[in-house]
Amino acid sequence: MLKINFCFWVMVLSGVSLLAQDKPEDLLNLINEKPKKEFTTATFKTTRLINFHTTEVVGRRGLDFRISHRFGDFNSGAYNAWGTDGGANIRLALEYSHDGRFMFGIGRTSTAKIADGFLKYRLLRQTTNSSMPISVTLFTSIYHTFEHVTIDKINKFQQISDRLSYCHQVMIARKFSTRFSLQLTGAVVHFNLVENVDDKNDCYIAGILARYKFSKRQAITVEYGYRVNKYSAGKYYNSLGIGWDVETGGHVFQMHVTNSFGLTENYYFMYTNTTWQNWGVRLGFNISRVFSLQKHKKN
Amino acid sequence: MKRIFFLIPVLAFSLNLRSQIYVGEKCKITFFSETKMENIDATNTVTKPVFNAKNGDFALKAQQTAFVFTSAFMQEHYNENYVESEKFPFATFAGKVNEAIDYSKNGTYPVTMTGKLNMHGVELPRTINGSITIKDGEITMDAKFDVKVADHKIKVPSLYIEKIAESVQVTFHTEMRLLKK
Repeated sequence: MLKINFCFWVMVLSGVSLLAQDKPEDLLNLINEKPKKEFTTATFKTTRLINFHTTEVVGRRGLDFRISHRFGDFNSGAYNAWGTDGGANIRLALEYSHDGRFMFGIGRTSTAKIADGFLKYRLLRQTTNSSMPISVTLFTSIYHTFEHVTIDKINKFQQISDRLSYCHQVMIARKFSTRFSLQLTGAVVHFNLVENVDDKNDCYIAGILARYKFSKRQAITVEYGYRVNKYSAGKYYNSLGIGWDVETGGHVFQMHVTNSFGLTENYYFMYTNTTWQNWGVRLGFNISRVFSLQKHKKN
Repeated sequence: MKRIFFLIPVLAFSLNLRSQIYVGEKCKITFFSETKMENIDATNTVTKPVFNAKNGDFALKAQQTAFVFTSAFMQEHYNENYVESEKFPFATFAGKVNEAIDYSKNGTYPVTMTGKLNMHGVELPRTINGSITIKDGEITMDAKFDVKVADHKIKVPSLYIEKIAESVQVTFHTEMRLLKK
């Protein structure tokens, strides 16, 4: 009898539990929706942190028009308005991604008259459930200088290949929280033609990039590139920049202080010739404007 | 032993109830913000609403990041700056159909649904007008309503007030079938 009693209550309760839908939201318990795999977004605000590339790629059908500008050195003094009067370097670029994963871009930099082109591919993407804990992006680029340089009335660039240089990068990043992201970069820069006979053509760089978002639309950024090998007897320094990101809808505005004057990987990684130690740093800014080339659907 | 007989209607009723649960196999939630400056639209097609034809209860849970925008950067801004998807990953609605409808008969009925709409962590009581179409055991629901951005404490910076509509039009459509167990 006791057994029957027990069975009775179990059955009644199970029946009641099915009935107990006094709230409509309980209905959702009846279907088991698995949480979907999602990719972490906005590890960094844009494809560059200051000078360095981030793991980010422009969104699908996004055309990014970028203006990067660097002023002269702070230590050029009051007469030169601490660099704002002159020694400007400007890069204008158009960068596009069709699928939000693979992107390419072309740009022109004023100093050394460099035309550059690059390819960038998001190999791995961090997921929100950390089934993939990191993002990995590959980068490769080519630079061509159009500068006329004569040394003792002889053209410095005898062949087209003398004008070319390259950079290849592997970038690994993780967004640790909404606010904090960190990236490690391994890069190699290769110049076909270097300044001196003893100079090496290759420079290896280990870079670290960090971002801390202190409000919804603003962040503090830091980047540092350590040159691993000795490639020249000339006085060159590691690139270090500190910046401030402001996002304003379609624009991202980045202001920063960096010791690198170059705007292309080949120069800022390998030939940064001023140092923070004597205020050989400069003010700079990047403006990024993304245009969506996707047509709006009619409602 | 008599009590066992008492059990039969309870179980029969609960089984019956089970057989009245519908799940949205196809569902499309679209929102549209129209201003002179810019139009913004996004569509979510992965949500599965649940409906109880026995008592008219209805519930859905839409993942914010599953709204696909025409422009990828707008999608990023939507999740990061406006609805704050990391803090509030879902928009939910739970309510009840006010009209008594015979769900076994084919036809289209105008209905109202009263319930709670939760978005950006702010829950508001709402009554939504729509229609229910029944065709051979399949239930189709359609509704169109407005969501006021400010009501859900979604902050729009003064710079973009001209680009984002004060109230966003939401279009909802789902085709529901009996839940298979």
